[in-house]
Amino acid sequence: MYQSILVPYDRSDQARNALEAALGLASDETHAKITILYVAPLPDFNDPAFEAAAQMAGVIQVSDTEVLELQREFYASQKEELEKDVAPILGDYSNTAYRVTSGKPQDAIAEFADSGHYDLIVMGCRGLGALRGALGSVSYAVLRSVDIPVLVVK
Amino acid sequence: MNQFQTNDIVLYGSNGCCRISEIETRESGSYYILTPVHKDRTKFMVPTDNENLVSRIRPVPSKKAVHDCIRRAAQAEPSWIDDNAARKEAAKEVLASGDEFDLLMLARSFHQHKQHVMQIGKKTTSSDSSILRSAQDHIRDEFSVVFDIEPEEVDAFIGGEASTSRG
Repeated sequence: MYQSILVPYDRSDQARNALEAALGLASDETHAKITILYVAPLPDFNDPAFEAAAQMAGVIQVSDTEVLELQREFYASQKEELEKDVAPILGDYSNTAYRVTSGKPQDAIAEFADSGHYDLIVMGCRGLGALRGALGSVSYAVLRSVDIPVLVVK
Repeated sequence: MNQFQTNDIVLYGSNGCCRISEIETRESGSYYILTPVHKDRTKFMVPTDNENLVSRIRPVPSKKAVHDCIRRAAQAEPSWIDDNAARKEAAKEVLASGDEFDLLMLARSFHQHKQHVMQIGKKTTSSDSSILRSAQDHIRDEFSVVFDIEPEEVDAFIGGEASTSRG
């Protein structure tokens, strides 16, 4: 009986398969909550190239507050795109949460998984071995970092 | 030395009946690959050195043990918790434990309640329906493997066993 399922989602076909499988489990049973996690490549707003571009646009110096605001806008736009991307898969299933984080994918997923009360993680096969059902390096790293059952979808 | 071997049929926590289809060894360590018996396209991967996760894997009970469970459950009186939240919490614990006797009693009490409310023209809550369905699915999944029958045949099988034990 699953109450809360975490699906790390990277917009690949395998991640879509994983989300479909999670949806099947969640709706079969107790209408479990599905949390869809996207690890976004967060732009470095302190990068010299970004600062140079800002200066060319007439901004003399980007303050910390502005950097935070840019990050907030970035996360909001990524979350919006994520919601649009998975909407056709989820249909009218509403017990969902969307989360966007950043960082090294395996660390970000493991850290996020530990912070919640998830009773299952559903992941798709990735990497060169995906066709024969093998996992990619990120998935193996997640497997070794979490204390939650991991279901892999071929 | 691994605790389980390839082709062992096991229960993995509340995730149902699985066959250990492979013990995969990689640079990062080795993994039990658990393929759910009644589901295609999915597999659980369990690092063999993760004691917490490995401790959730247990062998499927013997036919005799399950026969005994069915008989004991047939003779016991199901109980019903009136408080919705407390009932849900208790049910969650039983479903997570995977204990066969408790699962049978859970299914019986929720089924009896469903029949009772239907008789008075009402419906069970969606939470109660889900709990009943989960318990039934769990029992069908496991007992079908133990007795080598189809999941759809399990209800009738339990009914027959229970009638015999009630005399």
